[in-house]
Amino acid sequence: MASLRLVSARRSFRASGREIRALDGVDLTLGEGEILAVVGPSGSGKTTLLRVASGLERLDSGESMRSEGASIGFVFQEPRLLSSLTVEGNVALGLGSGRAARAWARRVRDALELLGIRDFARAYPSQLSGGIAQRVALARALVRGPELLFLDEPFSALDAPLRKRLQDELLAILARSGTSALFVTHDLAEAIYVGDRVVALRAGRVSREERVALARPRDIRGEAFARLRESLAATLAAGAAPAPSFREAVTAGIEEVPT
Amino acid sequence: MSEAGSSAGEAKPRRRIQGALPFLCVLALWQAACSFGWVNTYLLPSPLRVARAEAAAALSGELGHHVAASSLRVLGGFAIAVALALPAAALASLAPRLLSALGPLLAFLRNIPPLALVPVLILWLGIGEASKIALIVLASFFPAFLGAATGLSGVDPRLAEMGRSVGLSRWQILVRVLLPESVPSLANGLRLGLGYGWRALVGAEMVAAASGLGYWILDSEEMARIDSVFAGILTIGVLGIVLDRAALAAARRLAPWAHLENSWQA
Repeated sequence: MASLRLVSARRSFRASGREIRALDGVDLTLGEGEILAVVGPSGSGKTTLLRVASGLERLDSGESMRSEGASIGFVFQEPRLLSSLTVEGNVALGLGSGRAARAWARRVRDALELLGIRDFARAYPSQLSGGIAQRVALARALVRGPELLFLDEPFSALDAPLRKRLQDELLAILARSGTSALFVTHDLAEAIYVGDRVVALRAGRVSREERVALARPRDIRGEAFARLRESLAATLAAGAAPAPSFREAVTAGIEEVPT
Repeated sequence: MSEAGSSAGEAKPRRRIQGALPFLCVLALWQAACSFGWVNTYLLPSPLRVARAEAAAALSGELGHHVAASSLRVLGGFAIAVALALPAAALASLAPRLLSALGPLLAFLRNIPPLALVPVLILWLGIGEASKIALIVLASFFPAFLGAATGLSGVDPRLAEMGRSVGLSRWQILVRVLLPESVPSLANGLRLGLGYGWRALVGAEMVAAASGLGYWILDSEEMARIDSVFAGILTIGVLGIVLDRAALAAARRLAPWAHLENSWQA
């Protein structure tokens, strides 16, 4: 079990001579075994938040603290599979070779089984559908038994029925393992469906934090669900236009803002 | 399934016939030009005469001797070029600023034809095997290096980031992520390098050689055996194609995921 805390987290980029504050003093806590959904429009800073929280990127100022020695897993928006490796090889990536790999072999098989992709173990990524590829990415993140899992809009490219199925599978896995998860999405319904708590991010700031007091499995057509969704939508709609996202900033040719 | 299989099976012989057809046309035209006296056969011997010269050289063992000597030089030079080009490309991918700084110098060196360096190579390395192999190394290095460097720098940076997220070191990212993902460009570069090395062969074997296809061509020219000159030229062309196809087949076998195209190198 592991937790995570961000204190006054700030991260800026420079685009076309203009400073963009992707994160502007974010305070955030992810409790042990909790699923924290971060939702916000494009450019609200949610991907940057995930990247600094996971250590893929550094903060300009503020603090990012994780439980000491906590193992982490990362699921990106795209599967990011290596075309040179089979499904099995992709899941086992980074687990070592020789004796170390043999020791992990059972875990790899279990992860493939868990995600229902064992039949694809010998397939190459070019032979997979989008849904299967994303399951492989999930298996790759889960195989190490991470205590902290970071998910960056992992199901956004999938169609609705498949997305729902993977959300349910993810929730079941997280519930069984007690893994803490930071789940970023731009989809409010997904945030409410997945999260124990939802944090609404706007222009690099936390604009609202809400515990989702709905029993699981959640009914997305239920009245309480709809009320919470409308209320959060109103929060996100209010206020200034969002800053460009990290990805947009990178595409625009940004430079890092020195600390 | 069987329908698709049979149509794929039919496509291969059709492609082979399509590939052979231009050769057959050129040979027929060439033979006709010689038979009907359209050309001076001392300057352009007929294909049949060239084939006879080739067959005689093959039967006497002369052809095999020259082919073996040339192949060893090309493969040796190419192996050295690859051994230099791959680490250099890996270094360049780890230090892109260094590559950028060295860009003008590399462009300068790349544009010097290896043949222009023959006198310098003889001066530095003598007239033995070293200068011949060095010439082939120079011809093969840049295509191999540029293919590898372009392939490595063209890999989606998000894959390297994924590698970091699963705890791979920089070296592991290079070896396990970047190198395999750059295989298509790398294989193209290596095939081009091998082709360039093969093309530099005649130049290399002009350097006081006593064996090899380049030597055979020059020696035949001095002996006024124009049919053997053409036999040597055709052998170089055919073996160049064989080497390229072999390299492609090996790359496809080693990297089945890369779906390398069955293209002909320019």
